[in-house]
Amino acid sequence: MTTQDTPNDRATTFQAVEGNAGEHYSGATLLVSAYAVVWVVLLAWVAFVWRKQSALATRVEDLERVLDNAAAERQKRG
Amino acid sequence: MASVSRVRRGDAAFYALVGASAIAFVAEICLVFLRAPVEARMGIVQKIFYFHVPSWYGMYIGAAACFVGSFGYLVRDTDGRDAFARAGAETAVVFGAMGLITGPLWGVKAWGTFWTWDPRLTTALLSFLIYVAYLVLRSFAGDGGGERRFAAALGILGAAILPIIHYSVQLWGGQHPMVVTGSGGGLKHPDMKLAFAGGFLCFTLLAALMLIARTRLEIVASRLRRAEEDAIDLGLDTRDET
Repeated sequence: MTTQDTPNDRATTFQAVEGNAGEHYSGATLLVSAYAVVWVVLLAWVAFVWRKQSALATRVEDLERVLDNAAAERQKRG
Repeated sequence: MASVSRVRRGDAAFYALVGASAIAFVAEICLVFLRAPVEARMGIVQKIFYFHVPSWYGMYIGAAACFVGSFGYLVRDTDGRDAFARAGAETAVVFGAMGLITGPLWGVKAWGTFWTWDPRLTTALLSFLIYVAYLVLRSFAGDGGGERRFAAALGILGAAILPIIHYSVQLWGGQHPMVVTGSGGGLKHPDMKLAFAGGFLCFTLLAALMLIARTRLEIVASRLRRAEEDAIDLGLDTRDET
């Protein structure tokens, strides 16, 4: 860490650390949290799509049942 | 037979895209966590940057898809164009949520606060809310022609804010970093640049997968709705029978 850099420096350049990286804050926790968020949001989307597919499957089953009933009635009538 | 073979080709392309995305994500994780150096002043938290910025880029892809689908729908209303617009809005919301949550986690370290009403953050939040409104409209206002046209107009208006987000830092200043748009770029190490490019590739592939999967699902939903309407026209009510 250097003491001369200004907020503006931090906003315009990223530089590689020389030697060992000294962590004064829990940057690792923030990084892992951010990384976890990406996967949690993605999994939430997968669950949402799954729910949509389930609703579609129910509607398809309803339609199939109605068509089967109509075909059976037609057969009965000759 | 031709349509079956077309479906199989489409499936094969989709699975190939899934495979490419999986490989890209594994490579990206290695690049970010094993190869890219720790940033000198901010430390390890700077690595959020490698998927925070691409997540906003994914949001732009979704928003652009929503715009294209919406504009196309207003020109000629087809289920496919409407489905593409809806998939785009959903993709924009998913990636926007990632960006809105990962950004403050970086900000708390860089600025000492999770949120500030900076022009970039505020316009990004507004854009995200427009696409949330689009999805709420599509979920609760029915799926008729009028609702679809209204949503298409919203999808076009939503895209208008994208350039404002992009140029907000240059136009109004604020605290948001300009590492990517600064002259010559602010990534001072080649491995940083590589990890950053990898992030863009991963999120582009992911956005493409989401757009394809959701568009296809919406097209199937539209076809089913028409089949249900046909059944009702034939005197077969799909809702009342048990």
